[in-house]
Amino acid sequence: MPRSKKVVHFIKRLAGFSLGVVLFYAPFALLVRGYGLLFPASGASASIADVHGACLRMPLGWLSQPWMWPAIGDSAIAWLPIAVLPLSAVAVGPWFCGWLCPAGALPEHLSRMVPDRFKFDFKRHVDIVPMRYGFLAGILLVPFVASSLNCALCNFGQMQNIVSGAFGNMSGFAFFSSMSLIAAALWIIPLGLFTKGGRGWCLFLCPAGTAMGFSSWISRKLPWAFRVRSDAAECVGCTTCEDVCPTRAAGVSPEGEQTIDAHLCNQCQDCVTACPAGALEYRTPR
Amino acid sequence: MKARGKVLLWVIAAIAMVFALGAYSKSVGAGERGSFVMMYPATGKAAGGPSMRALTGEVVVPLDTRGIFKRLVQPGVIQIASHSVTNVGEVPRRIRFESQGFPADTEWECRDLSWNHETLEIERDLAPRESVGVDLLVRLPDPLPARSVPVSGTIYVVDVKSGERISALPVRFEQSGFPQDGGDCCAP
Repeated sequence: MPRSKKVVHFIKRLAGFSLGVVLFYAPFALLVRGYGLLFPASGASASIADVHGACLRMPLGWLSQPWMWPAIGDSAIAWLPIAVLPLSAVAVGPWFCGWLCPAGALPEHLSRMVPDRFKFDFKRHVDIVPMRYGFLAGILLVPFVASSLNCALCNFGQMQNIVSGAFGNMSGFAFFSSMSLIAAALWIIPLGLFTKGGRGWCLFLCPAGTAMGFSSWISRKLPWAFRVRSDAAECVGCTTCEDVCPTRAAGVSPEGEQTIDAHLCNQCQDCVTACPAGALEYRTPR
Repeated sequence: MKARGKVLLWVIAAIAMVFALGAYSKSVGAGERGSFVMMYPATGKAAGGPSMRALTGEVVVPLDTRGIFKRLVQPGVIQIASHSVTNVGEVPRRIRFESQGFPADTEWECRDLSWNHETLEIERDLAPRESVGVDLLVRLPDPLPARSVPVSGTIYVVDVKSGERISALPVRFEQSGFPQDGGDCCAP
């Protein structure tokens, strides 16, 4: 595959993540502001420029707090990502994760600076898919016994602090809690820098990514569902796709057959660009 | 069958890990960060308005439960935070925040674009049902005063037009090893 194609692909993804910053994060937060402008009666303020305006973790946490149920209704915009992300994943896969989410992109790209020999490849040591759904189940259940964990495990909030800091607002670094220190360290260091692919946090501790992965898996055979798909006849079994896959979804079976795990693939298409035989495509089923 | 059992084990292991994190978070969280929901104008409650926190009437931060990482990195800074200070009245209001009783270097932060950091005012009218998020950063004195409530104070929402305090929420930091009446057990 020509190097220029890889560079163009990299720039496209970088542009997508930059768009994610502009849509979700202060000082821009165009999604929340736009929603507030379009629906002023919703209680969502066009003036509040922050990632918390479209947070889906908070309403999930509030499910265990009956006194907060009215606030769930008032946070209509929070239901937008809950509805839009898994529904869109039916049609195009978890595009949000692979192309728009800056909180996932940061550790992925940082991890590229660390040589592979220092990285832990979860694929070789654990069964990622059941663990992923186990973590989701835990995240949904744990607010009933420890309601603060939902916010404590929010890498979107951590990313907001980084983006705000980059634009001169350092207030996000004025306060740390034990859990925010643990979460930040996990997100960037063991599950980012030292994880093969850099997407360890996304695989295990992001409820949105797991929900989209499930939605993508159940709908993968629909005739209009776009996914990264392989052509067995073209595959030469070189495992390049496996090497470049950030989510450890792509691989070659012991029988030499190209496989993509629909539970894990975030449709970033790094494998499509890297495949020397052109065996991978982003398309509907044939 | 064996494969299914293995899958189940991975699921259970993951749930157990989240619950372990949850248990740790619960054990240290309250001592490191106070969270509240505040509504204004307060109607029929002594403090905080008709909100969940108003049921107890105050935010209590038990400092003894701070976790090891917090104690190592930043033991003296506690955040009192809310994503939801809501206008539950029927008319738009312009508000500002006030605090009383906290150490002098207490800092306010608000994510609203109309926030004036100097006057602590949100310089626009907040519509009925509209919420704002606000954080209060309290820097505890070092060493802490030797009493059971080393620091306390009250957060107020003030109607800018009338100057009236339209909602209030007491905040209390507690530590053990001292008499509950606030006296100094070690005083001569």
